[in-house]
Amino acid sequence: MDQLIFMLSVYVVGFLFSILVFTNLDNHIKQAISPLIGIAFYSFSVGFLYIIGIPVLVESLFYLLITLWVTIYFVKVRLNRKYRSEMPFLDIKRNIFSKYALGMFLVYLLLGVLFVFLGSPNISPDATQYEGLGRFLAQGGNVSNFVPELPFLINGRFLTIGAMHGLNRLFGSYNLYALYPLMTVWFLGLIGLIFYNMNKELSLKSRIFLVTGLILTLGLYKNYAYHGVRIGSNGLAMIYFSFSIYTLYIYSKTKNYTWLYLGAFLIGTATLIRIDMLIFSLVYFSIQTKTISEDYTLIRNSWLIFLIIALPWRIFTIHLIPTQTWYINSTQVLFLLSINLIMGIFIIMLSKLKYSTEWVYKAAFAFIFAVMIYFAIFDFGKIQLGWELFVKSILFSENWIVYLIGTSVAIMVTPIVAQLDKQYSIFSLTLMYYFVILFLIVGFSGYEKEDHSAVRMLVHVAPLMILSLFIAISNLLKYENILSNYSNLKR
Amino acid sequence: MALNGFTPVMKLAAASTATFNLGYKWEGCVINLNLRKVLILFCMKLSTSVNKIILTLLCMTVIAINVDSFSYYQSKIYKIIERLNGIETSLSEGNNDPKKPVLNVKEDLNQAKIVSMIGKKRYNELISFQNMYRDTSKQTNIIFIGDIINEFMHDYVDFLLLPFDGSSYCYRLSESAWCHIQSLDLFVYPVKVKHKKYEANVDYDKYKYLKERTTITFRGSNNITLNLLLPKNYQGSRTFYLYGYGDEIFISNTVENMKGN
Repeated sequence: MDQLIFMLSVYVVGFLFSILVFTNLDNHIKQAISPLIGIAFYSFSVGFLYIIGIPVLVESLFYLLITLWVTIYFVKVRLNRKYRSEMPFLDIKRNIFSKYALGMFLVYLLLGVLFVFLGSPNISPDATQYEGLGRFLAQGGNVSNFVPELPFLINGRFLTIGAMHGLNRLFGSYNLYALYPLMTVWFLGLIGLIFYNMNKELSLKSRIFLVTGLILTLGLYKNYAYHGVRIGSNGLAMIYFSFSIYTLYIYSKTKNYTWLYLGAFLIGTATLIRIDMLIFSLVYFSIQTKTISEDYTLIRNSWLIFLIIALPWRIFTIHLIPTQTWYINSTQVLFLLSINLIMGIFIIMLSKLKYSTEWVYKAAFAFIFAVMIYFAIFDFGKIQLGWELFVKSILFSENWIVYLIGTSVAIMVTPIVAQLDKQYSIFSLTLMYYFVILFLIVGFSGYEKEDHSAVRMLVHVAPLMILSLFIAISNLLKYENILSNYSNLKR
Repeated sequence: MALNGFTPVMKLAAASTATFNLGYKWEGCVINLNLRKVLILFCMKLSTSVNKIILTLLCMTVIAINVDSFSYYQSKIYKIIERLNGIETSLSEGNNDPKKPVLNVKEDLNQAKIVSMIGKKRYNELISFQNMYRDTSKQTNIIFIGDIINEFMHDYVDFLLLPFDGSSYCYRLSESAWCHIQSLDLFVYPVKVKHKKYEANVDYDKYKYLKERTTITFRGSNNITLNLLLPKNYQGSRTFYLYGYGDEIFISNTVENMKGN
């Protein structure tokens, strides 16, 4: 029961921030993204309290959230008055008491009840550390209390998963498990809903058939289901990263800039969930240059949103991370932050000077291949390790071979599908970037065992692989419709 | 004519036939119209065929993903059935076991004791937590110990001493493995965990002594039994130790009483 209340509070907090921050999204989308926003704002608050040395309590958390909400509210009111924009977030009746709001909340509640009673079928060894960190926070632990392996905990376990476990304890629940399957299933509904909305050209029958196919294929996809219900960071990293890339595609179709801001928000939060997302955030922003190449305001704002979310936690905890540690050390953290910052400043400057940034994603790809060629010539061992471990042992293994085939097909059909839908390449580009970067990570890390974390990181783009297949199918079906309409016209 | 959504092949066909029409417009529109129709229909057929091939490829990939997942679920279902069969067998064997009623009585007493200490709701949550995590990794026993110390003993404990030096990932204590012991610090916070060299593997006499004074017992991971020896009052040492004998682990502050044994 306490866990259910905690999960409902995630929704409510997320919804209150969602109607305030992502004002221009449709009402039902604001509802649907609420849990993702709630988790993010809860995490920021826990991180902030920890950094300033205040024990995390429900009271202190809610004072902080209220302060944050009121601050954003007044900033928005002031900005909107200045630009004489509308203020739909003030329309409380429409936001809260709509049939969508109540319907979605009811679905969330029912799913929550279901997963609280079902329990967790999949406990990873890492779950013990997340649960441990949650206990530490809930029992009054703060930055001045030394705990062993603190650098590892801060960079690898703290935000956002550890924070969620801590808050769950503060709500009186014993241990957190239902949030993971709940978010996994909720995400299926979310992308199903958006996919349904974006295929209005298709007949109702085709739309329902495709959405059902998408939800079933992704929901039952073994790696999605396995990591989705598992207590750990991979499930949430997968949701936040994949959805951030999807928002780029949605923006390219709808031209509603709020999707871009949501994407920047999601990728920023993803970097808090897993530190390796500080590498893949570069993928997100490279692909973003393909979508918005010249709009300075949009580029600047999305980078600002990302940096405001991703940087503070890493910067204010850097003094706790030594230069020599078995996990990510402070030099590596600074390097990752620097490349993100440099890329951000570079792209913002380019757009400010009215240069197109569209070439950036191509240059990024060329750079990655140049790195590969450099190492192929001067340090072949790294390329060999990447090939032997990542390609031969992992990708060609029984567990991942179909995933590899799916990704290859999604990439192969891009030249043809992109003729019908130019922005389709967002997915295949992301998949290509992701696989090549993972290949390099495996090669560079020097870790030669098959339980490499790259195996778990592969699942982060699984939704994108399946989604891209269905988007390709929907595009071809739309084209078939056009052709048949044309034939009918000729007759 | 709007050609939105047409592939370049289609657009090319439309454009070329348009040019053809312009160049030969005086030759009779019936022939031109027919030629144009044939060309467009040919390109449409070609385009439709390419689309159908790609559509088939995409659908086959989706089917392959589903089949791949199906075989995964199939193996899971087999495992569940095997496990259920195992439980059924052990239950039917257990019914014939004369010791079983005695064990049940012991378990009931243990449960009653725990419920009286933390309440029924908390007891259910604790057992659910243990059932969820039991036998899932080598780290489980360490977090079980941490959890029950925090739940039952935090008023009695200031320091928890472990017979390990803290430099390795895993240690052995009698028949049990103890891995990632750093998690214990997090579970028992604000209780301090310290590492000290002491004889943690006890002999039979000490085992008997500890067993007699055990307050509550939990089933840990890998068939390890975890025993808590709660002090009768708040007096006495607030430093607790970990002891092991066979597959049983004890958390106790009775180190003084056992000196010289």
